[in-house]
Amino acid sequence: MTLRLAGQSTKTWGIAGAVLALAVSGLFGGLQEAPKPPPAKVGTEIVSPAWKVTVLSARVIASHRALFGLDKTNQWIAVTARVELTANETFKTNGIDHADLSDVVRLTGLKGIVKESKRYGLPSTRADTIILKRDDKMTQMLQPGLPEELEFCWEQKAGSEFPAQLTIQVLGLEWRADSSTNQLQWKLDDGKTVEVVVPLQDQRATTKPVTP
Amino acid sequence: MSFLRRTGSRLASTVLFIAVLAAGYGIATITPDLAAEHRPFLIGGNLSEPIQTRLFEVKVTGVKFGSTVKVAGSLSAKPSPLATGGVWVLIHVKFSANSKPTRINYAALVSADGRTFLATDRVDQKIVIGGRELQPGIPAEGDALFEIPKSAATAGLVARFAAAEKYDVRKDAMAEVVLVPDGAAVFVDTSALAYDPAVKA
Repeated sequence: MTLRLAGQSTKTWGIAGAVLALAVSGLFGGLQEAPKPPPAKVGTEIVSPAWKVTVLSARVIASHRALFGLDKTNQWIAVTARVELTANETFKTNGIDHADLSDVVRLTGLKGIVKESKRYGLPSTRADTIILKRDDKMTQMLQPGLPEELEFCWEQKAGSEFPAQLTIQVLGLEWRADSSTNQLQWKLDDGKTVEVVVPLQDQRATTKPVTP
Repeated sequence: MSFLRRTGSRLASTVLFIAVLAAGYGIATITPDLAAEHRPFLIGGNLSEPIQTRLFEVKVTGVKFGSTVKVAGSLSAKPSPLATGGVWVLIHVKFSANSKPTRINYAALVSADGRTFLATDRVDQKIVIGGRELQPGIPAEGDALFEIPKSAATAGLVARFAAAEKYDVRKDAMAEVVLVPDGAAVFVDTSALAYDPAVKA
């Protein structure tokens, strides 16, 4: 028997191994989609290798002096989070092939977003503009070791509906080599994305643009 | 005999396969990554010393540390002075282009623990990060402003400047100026530092 088994071809051994691996993985859930962790609560600090993020609040506003949209009648979804970079370099908003400051939080599941983007076919939109709350001005960078409250803003078409609670994705990062260039960079780690459900306050009436 | 020969042959193939994988992993591990291979060439110097690079000469003539900054000529009602959760580092610097019009597109502080802080975007920067185009033979000087955490304001802090043509610092000269020498203490001024974005030729 042993001799007959040992005498099988490599192809047969390979197929048998694959079938066995599939059968064993089936015992532990196999190819079923992994259960999603429950969303984090507002005010919970989410720790990733490059940053610590605490989502604080969300609001819908009609305008802000730091926001310049495609249409003046459009509204803005604005999420405030306290962000601390634990990476050892300044993060800017212009990463081309690597993660950047705009990847801290992403918006998902909202209709009417003007510049919507997707990740693996699912809505996951980077912020159009980031406001540094300390100065109430637009910023394009965050320094390591200096936690700041940032307001991430997405332009939404005028009159678009929005829910009472907003789902925000706080993205996770990993420091790894780019598969094509071998350059070490901060890359998105989709397995570490944490969702946060935050109440969305309607502040459009109090943030109407000032007409000269 | 045939069974033993076949088993031996498979074992040898497996060992060879694992050896090739191990060799590949070893080569990939000891080979520097692209960022290390393409790193800029640092040319070091101290405060008040001219440092010559391929495209420009730089001389840092002063450095101050403060908890707030007042921006000269600011049109905005607030916030002036600017507060920080860390320390402001105000550098007075003089540049001159060597042989062709040049901009200083890269300006950063590097702390003793290896963290890199780009020049802040909380104020308009005119002498660095793409501001004034330097003309050969016409030196220009002005202030550059940085924001760093208190833990970075220690001995070993250096400033780095590069032309970064096409915003790329790779494989080109970069000046490195020691702002706080080893053993020196940092004095953080509690009165507002005066930052002047104007470039003076």
